[in-house]
Amino acid sequence: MDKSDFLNPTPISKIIVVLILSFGLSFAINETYAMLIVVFISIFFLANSRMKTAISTIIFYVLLIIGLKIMRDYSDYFILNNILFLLGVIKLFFLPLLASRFLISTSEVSSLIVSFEKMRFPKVIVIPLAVMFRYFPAFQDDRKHIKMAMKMRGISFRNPIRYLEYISVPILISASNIGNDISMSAETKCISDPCEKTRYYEVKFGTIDFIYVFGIIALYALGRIYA
Amino acid sequence: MLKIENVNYKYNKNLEIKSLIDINLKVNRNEAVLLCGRSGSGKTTVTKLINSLIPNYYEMGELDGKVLVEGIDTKKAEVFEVSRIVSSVFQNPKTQFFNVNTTSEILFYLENRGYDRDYMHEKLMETAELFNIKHLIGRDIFELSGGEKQIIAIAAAFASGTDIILLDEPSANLDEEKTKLIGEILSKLKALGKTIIISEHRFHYIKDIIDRVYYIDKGIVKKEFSKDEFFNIRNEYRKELGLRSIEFEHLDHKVRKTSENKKILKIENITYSFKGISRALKMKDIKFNFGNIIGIYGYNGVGKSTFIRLLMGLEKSKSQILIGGKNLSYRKRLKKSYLVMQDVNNQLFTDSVEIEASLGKSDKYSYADVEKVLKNLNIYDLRDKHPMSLSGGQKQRVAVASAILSDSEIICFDEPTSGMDYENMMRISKLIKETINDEIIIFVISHDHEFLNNTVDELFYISKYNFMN
Amino acid sequence: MSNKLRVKDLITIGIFFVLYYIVSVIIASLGGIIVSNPIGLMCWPTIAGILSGTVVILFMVKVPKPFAFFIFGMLHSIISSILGYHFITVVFSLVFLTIAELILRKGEYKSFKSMAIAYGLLSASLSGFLMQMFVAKEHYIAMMSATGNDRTEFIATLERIVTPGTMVIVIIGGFIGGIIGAYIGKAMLKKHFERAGII
Repeated sequence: MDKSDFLNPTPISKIIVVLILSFGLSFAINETYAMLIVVFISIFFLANSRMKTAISTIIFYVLLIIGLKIMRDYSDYFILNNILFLLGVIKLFFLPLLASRFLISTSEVSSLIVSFEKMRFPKVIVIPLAVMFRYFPAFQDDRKHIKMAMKMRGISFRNPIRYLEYISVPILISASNIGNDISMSAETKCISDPCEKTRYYEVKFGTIDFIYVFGIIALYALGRIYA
Repeated sequence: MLKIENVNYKYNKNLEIKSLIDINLKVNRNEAVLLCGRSGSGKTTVTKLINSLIPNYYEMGELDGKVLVEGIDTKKAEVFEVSRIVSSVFQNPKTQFFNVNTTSEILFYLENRGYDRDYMHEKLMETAELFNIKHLIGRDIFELSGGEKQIIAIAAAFASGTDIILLDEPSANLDEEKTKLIGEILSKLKALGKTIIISEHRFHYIKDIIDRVYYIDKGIVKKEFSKDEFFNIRNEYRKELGLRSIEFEHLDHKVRKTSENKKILKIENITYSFKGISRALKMKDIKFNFGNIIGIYGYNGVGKSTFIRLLMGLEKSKSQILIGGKNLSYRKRLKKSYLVMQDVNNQLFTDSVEIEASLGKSDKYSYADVEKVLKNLNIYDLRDKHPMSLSGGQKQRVAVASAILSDSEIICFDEPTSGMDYENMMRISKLIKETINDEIIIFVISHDHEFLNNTVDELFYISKYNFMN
Repeated sequence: MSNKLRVKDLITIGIFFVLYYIVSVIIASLGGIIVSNPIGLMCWPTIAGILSGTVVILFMVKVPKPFAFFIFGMLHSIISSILGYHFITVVFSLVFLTIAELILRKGEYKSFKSMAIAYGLLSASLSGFLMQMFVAKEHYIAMMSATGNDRTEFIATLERIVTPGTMVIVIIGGFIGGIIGAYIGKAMLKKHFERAGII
């Protein structure tokens, strides 16, 4: 947590950008500015040591645009129609999806949770969200072991209904048990203490947040003007 | 400091069985008290009385008598109130933390109590220094080993600053090295004035700090020992009590010799690289005899489970493994292998013991065969019950039944005796010894020396140097 | 059992939501083949409804308290918003979940029938993603016309499938899928989870 975080906007800013771009789905913007937004966010990926993501994103987007333009001319072929549809959907949702990818892959769990609290999400939302981050890796671990056991017993997907029945038993029981254990652990650390909580990890706004948020707003606004 | 007076407890008020009967015990300031006894004796129930999870967490239960923690009556207090005095460390390193980040977990109590950042930072530094865990601060808990996780849990208990630290079998899943480390940490805590209450099966690592011992059996405090009395108990007597070895038990290094008269499992070559770490498991020219029980040991994380999985064909790798002279692919080996996992819950799928035991092979066996195996393992009476409703030991026996009925030639056990008392450990040992025959080879991964000494024919050590960087 | 949501319940919500999400989203992506086809896309709420029944019914039986289900369902919209879904999906879910919560209340959080209906509504609300295509459709078409690409097959497909009529079909399909899933869940509970002692 002591990395050079000055190039990493807070999760709050990232969420704001996602919301702006998803809300912006209702309105048309100029293609050039859409591309600029993609590049803008890619630069942020780059600034946060995600060079591969930055480059692959730009390349993917360019290919997407070219692909759509080309396929348009061959829309008589059924298979291409399916692919065309899929690509169309991806292009439609590209900007908010990219912004949310930025949120998820460059934010630490602890700063995400502190951000939710700072945004005054009620406790009944914050705790489940925090638990989701806590449970997911445990789930993957369980899943690995259960799959191994199933392989051993010869339970395969060949009989899909039985497979689904058998896999749900250990997973759900494990989920139930983990839930109990985590609760006991949290309760014995005073999670239900009614006093006001403090957090060690802080979320502080910096210049980078303004650059990120207002950069997107500016590009989007310009895109609307020239739509 | 802590008084339990005339406590009687039932987990379910509608049932006859009491889990605790007329319990009276007390703990004084800066004492270290040990609670011991067989599995199911009530030790863990007593720990739950102390941190007030009983009665607060168990709505169906019925508690008579008084539990006073620094004068607070736990029947009238909330868990968080009692937790301001008692910190709890639970058995399972994997499920006892709430946070993903180690620092957050260590400071969680302080955060919940509203301490300011400066204080938290100070406490964090103090804890890191004392426990020597600077390298574990600010990390993803899921990257830590079981031992490291447990150390974080104890660090969190310390950082909270509570006077009483309560531990429920903290060494249950740990190897000898980490267990010793925990012992050192507990010594430091006692020296700092903490009151320590610990429920345990293993005793040698806390020999230096324990002041008094309560022996609990069938819900009753049968005996109270002083430190000297307890640690001088004769071996025969402690076995009668159902307790594990009080002295540190050294491994009997049995001489390995492979005889050419019996069927051989030969590892011509195993090569396996771990994902994400620049390490590889490399082994060449190792032979094992069928008809033998082989104990596999080595530090946590060194690759014992991986080795077994490679052997069994649960994982693909560039390996040549010959059984009876024939090089078998991983698929073929998998068909002949069975693993009883550390967490048996991950391998029980059906809704009755009977079906579970014969899963996948029901066309091979007659009902009489299944019956015989179930009777042998003492689970025939449970045949209609749902496997997940059974106790830990019973679940394990169901898994063993499946192993036997699976007609496997290679049967492996991964830490079968974690947290087990003496009698159950011996039972599993006997079971394994009864299962072996010349057509089968059994591998047992364990860090339980007493168990290995009682069970295996030979030992196989996996060192860090079966690794190449 | 007291009626207030305690930390234990919130933790259960979080954990079971993860499972619910994995099942319903894995279906969507496994059948990436399904989803890339407009017809498949419209079947998704139904399929997700059928397959996630066990998880959600088990959850409802474990936490039969006011607002537990509501929060559970709303988590889905909140996550979706953070992932870039349009705000309209949140509004959509709110409507369905409010009705669901009221129905559960009427069943005193114990009646299976009310649970089945509530879950049916949850599955129906998954069609909210289609709702946002509705909203975005105008934008997309305008965008395409502006650059002269207005006669593509994609537009034609969009115009064909994203209509109020199909919305209704998808919603009903989701609801029915949910009811079926609920009954599967009930059977699973009886066969396994009650006997395993975790409820």
